[in-house]
Amino acid sequence: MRLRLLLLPVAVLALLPVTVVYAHERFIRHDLKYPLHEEYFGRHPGMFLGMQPDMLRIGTTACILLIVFLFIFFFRQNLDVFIEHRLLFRLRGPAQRFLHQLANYLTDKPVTLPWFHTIGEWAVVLFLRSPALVLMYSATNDSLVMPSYPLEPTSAIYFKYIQVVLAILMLTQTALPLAGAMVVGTWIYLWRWGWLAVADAIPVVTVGVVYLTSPWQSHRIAITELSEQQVKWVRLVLGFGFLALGWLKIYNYHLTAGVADNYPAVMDDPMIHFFAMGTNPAFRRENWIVAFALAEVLSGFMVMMGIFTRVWGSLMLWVFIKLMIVNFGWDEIPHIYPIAATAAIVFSNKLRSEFSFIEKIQQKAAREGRPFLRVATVAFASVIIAVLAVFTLLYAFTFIDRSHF
Amino acid sequence: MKFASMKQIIVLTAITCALLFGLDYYKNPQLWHSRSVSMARPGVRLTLWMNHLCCLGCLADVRQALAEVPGIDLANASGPKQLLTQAEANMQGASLPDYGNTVELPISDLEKLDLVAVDKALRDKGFVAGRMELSGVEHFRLEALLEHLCCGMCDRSIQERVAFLKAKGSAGQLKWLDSVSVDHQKKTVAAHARFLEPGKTVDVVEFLSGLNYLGYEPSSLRIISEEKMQHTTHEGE
Repeated sequence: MRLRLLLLPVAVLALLPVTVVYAHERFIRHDLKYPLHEEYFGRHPGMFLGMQPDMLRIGTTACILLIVFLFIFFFRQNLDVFIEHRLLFRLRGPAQRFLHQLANYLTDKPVTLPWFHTIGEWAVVLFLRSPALVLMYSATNDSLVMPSYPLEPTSAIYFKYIQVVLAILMLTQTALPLAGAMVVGTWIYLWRWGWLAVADAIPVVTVGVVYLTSPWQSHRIAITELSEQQVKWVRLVLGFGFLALGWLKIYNYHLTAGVADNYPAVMDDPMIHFFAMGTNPAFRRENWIVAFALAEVLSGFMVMMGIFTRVWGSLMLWVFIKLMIVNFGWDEIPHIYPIAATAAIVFSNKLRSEFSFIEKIQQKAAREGRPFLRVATVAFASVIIAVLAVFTLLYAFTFIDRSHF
Repeated sequence: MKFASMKQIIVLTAITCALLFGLDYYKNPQLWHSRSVSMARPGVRLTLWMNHLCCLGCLADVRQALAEVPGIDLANASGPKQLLTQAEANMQGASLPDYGNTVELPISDLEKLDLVAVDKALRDKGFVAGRMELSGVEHFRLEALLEHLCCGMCDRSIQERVAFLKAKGSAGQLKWLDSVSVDHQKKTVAAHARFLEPGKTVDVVEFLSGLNYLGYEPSSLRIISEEKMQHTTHEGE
């Protein structure tokens, strides 16, 4: 009851803008072709946490995976030393250098290879300019920012010109702080389509943050590298965007299922199959929704908090490219932008973790010769973080009846 | 290098927001006022949102189409005020905020009003109402007459598929719908509406389209208000 009381004002606040502005003519529908098992997403008295067993199983798989990743990450320094100096100490020459760089890549440490640096520079250039391509694409399709937000014919021309002006600023790298303010302002304007649209477009803000923190004389300099602070903000905003999108997939499960009904190929993904393993095939679509969503939650969380950013960023790159080329085709061409943003992070040598303090505690315990405390600290932190990250909202959502959404 | 200050960022963002919202408000008034129009007027009303109603010629045709429909007080119907004449509309460069507009119809006799007849009359004249928004009735049900309800499966399919239909309305369609009951003998489907707050509306086109989606074409759709419902209950007793 308390939880409901707590959630109610949050839900009311979140829905307020939708009721303030009524514009259902422009809402994009994802055509659900077959009914879902509505009870799957609700409360199940007598079950652990009152959750549907398959949902609980997928959640547990995601939670364990997160615990494992966190545990390994907090010991990454020690593992690196162990592998390089104990296991592979006989290696010499190119093989030794290759494994060293590979280990650095996987553990988010600087990769000092010239070609890696060059790709990183190119990724930053693409990241800063690709939004202009997306804006131009949207303008030619009578939409705003993304084809999901079609423009009213009566005002389309003005919004299209504004997008063109913004695209010119981006392409010529002129007055980037102004471009950043316009990106953030446009994102706020997306409240016009409702809070779901705003959540959907959070990744758009990522580039806005970089623009805002660029100099006014941006047209005079070649921006090929992001500062440590900018990388941090890109990671936080992009990661949070995907974390939110992941949760929205479960919250608004009809819409997610609607996409799958129209593009059945998206259901055949090895990573999602992994999350959904051992579940009841009678709830195939429901399991897919939760597995897909939690895969995205995990990716977003890892990127946001800086846990194996490159590994998860690489997985995200793979998924985006697959969605753009294999599953959705030309309709998803705006995915160039999140691909560029993710690539800018993956190929950055300035990655940091928001949980670095746990690593420090662990290392301090190691210096003091307290091995049990090291393992206990890391294990405790990993379990708490993973359980909170996966189960808090998954559990809370079962209290909210979304069958009529 | 000179960077933007926090003050500059906030001001520029606020200006962008204001520009976009202002532009939208000025150029798309129909999206901002679609609800407030009906909220301002008391009484039982049917507000037709016509996706095409651009000039006085259109309005005249709509009025003509509805002239024979019983239950509507066409004399007191109010249409958009800023419509162009046909001659003005023919001029190159003539423009309106939108091609679509609303027509508000006071309902003089709720019992006589058949919403399928309204829809058919408009279609026969070459129009389609994008929305038919009912307001001013707090408790009511919509009763659709379905000629084809031949077996128990027909009955069950409607009852069972309505939940799916509500779920399918990801844009919030049919949120007003509380439950559905089927009367096999009378061949009617009743859509029981939730309490309709004063000033709020229910789009009956959602229910009509829903029945079509389920594979049924109603031959009539009537609004049974609270008073009528109580009357029917007493008769039954």
